[in-house]
Amino acid sequence: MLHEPETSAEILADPNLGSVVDGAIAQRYEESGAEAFGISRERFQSIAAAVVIRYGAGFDEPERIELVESLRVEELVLARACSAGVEGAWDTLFARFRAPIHATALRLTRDEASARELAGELTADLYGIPNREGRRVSKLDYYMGRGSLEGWLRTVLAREHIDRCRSYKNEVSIEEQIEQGASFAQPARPMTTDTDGRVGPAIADTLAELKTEERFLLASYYLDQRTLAEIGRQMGVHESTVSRKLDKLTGVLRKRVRWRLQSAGVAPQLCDEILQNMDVRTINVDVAGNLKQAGKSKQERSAGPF
Amino acid sequence: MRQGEPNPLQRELARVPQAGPHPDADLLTALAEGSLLEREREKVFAHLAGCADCREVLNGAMGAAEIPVGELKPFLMARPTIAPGRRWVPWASIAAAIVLVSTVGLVYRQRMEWKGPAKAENTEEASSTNQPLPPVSAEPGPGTRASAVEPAAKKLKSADYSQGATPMASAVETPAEELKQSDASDQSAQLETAGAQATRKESIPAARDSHEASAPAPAAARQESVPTTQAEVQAEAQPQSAPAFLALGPAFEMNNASRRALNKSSLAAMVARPKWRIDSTGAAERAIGAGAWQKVLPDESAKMRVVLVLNADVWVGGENTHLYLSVDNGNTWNAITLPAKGGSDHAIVHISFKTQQTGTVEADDGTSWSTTDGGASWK
Repeated sequence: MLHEPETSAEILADPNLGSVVDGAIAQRYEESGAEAFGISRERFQSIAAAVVIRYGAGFDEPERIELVESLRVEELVLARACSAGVEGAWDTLFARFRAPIHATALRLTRDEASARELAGELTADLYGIPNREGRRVSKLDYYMGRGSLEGWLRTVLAREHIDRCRSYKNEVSIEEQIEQGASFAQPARPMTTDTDGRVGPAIADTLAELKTEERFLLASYYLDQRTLAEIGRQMGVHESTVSRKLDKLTGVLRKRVRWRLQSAGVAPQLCDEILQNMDVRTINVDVAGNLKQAGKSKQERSAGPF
Repeated sequence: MRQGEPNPLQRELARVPQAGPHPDADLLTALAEGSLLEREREKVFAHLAGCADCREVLNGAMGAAEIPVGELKPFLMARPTIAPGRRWVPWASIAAAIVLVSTVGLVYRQRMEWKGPAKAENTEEASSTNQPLPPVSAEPGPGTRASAVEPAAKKLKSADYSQGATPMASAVETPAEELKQSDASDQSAQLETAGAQATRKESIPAARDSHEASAPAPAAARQESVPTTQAEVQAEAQPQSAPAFLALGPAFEMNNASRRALNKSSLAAMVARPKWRIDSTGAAERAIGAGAWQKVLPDESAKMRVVLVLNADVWVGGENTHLYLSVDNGNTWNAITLPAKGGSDHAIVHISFKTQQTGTVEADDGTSWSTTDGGASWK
């Protein structure tokens, strides 16, 4: 039985979420397996309530219930049990996630030694470091059960890896930015002057009309040069769905940009010329070039620390 | 436009402003796994559209597992300093080691009994022959998780670790390369895999209810409900041979190489978890620990395309809109009939579940079905 093992993830402010939401949380106690780790119903209620308060502050009741129902309670409980120092929980955690952590670290770093270092750093963070009061603060306290624990570990690892790369370049870590609640500016990209001053605003206005998901899709595909499969994994859909969405989206984009340009007095022939510059085929040429460049950088990176 | 010059679209996309603070790791993970609420998705996508860094993190986190399991080197992540409350660990390790040696002895004894006393002397040769186990039930034995052997075995012999099925809500595309099989895998238990024909018409909730009723163990224990180790299966099948371990005598006259091989394979089996894959012919297969891959849908002619593991639930989908669900780690299967949507020749290529109840199945032509009751009804 755990004796109120407080973690930094605990939010003790107003746990009153209403009887319906409390009931929804209570219903998930059995399936969470909390009892096996000595976590009482009251403690489980407190853990889940903290998540609802963190993410569902502006939600109405049905949304809060949906939030509670979507929680990965089993893994949330496992994480809390680990941060509370339950031996069995650590065994389970390591047995389930040691290999995926290492595989992800290896995929990110492409180097066995760096992968061990990265994964070891994460392990130390998960275990936690004693704070001034002598209480161990585990990174697992920040896991909220919104997605799978394995996915969360991979995301933390990816962020850690990018921060390490940034530190080599003397840049500011994403983690620090998040802790400070601040955003940082988009890295400057080489821009060329707009040959026709009307093209940029026409595209920008059209992009502003799109849904956020569609803008993300375009940015991932055209800007970051991600593959359909990569985007599919990020969005949780199959790559064929991404392909279809992109086809539809580029069609809409071209149509609206053309309409805007023509409204601004651009001749139809010039419109065609401008739109050709937006054509996927043109971008594909760039993709090939970028891939070659990426291959070179990868070789250089494998020779150096990153 | 000159070659290498940014495309006008790229240029404008790079100028999209970044909305709000960076989403935390939970939100990014939940986005990729489809478990965010609609309004949260909007916010996160709005941020991602303007934040190259978060897109990079998301891509890094959700990248494909490009490293075959077989190539994973033993990874010994030493834990940080032992906390005061963990000083009993050495004693537990010693106790576990004693149990471990007993189990190895038992396994060896049984092997010798099957091969007969005449062959016992030539253990190297004997160990390479295939000696199938007598058929045993795949029903989980009581206390399979409670044993102190398993965690101790993991600590003592982490080099024998093999990656098990992860309970994440995303499709598992298990690499085709198999782990190197040890001689013990030849004796892998003939797990009872009920064919799809026998269970196709059963209702899903009924199957799930009966399974949960028969195994009301905590969630962590439920994942281990399949008899995952050969040692466990043998122990269930021939409990009477346990006392004979103390008087093994000549049975232990084996060379060191065989003993090490046996020890290694037994340990590997002890930490075994079910692994899943779709093989090159489109058959869904499962392997327990270091055991051989076995087809789980023997009468299925359509090619399977995707397998999803969510705790004890296993979903398999493929061509001709064929979809199967097992609620007991693949021991029994139910064929799921999806409502017709523009023909019946859809190839299911993507399965995702937010919870065990709520999920979506997607075909390669974009047709999708969703359920909110664990697969009993679809729309």
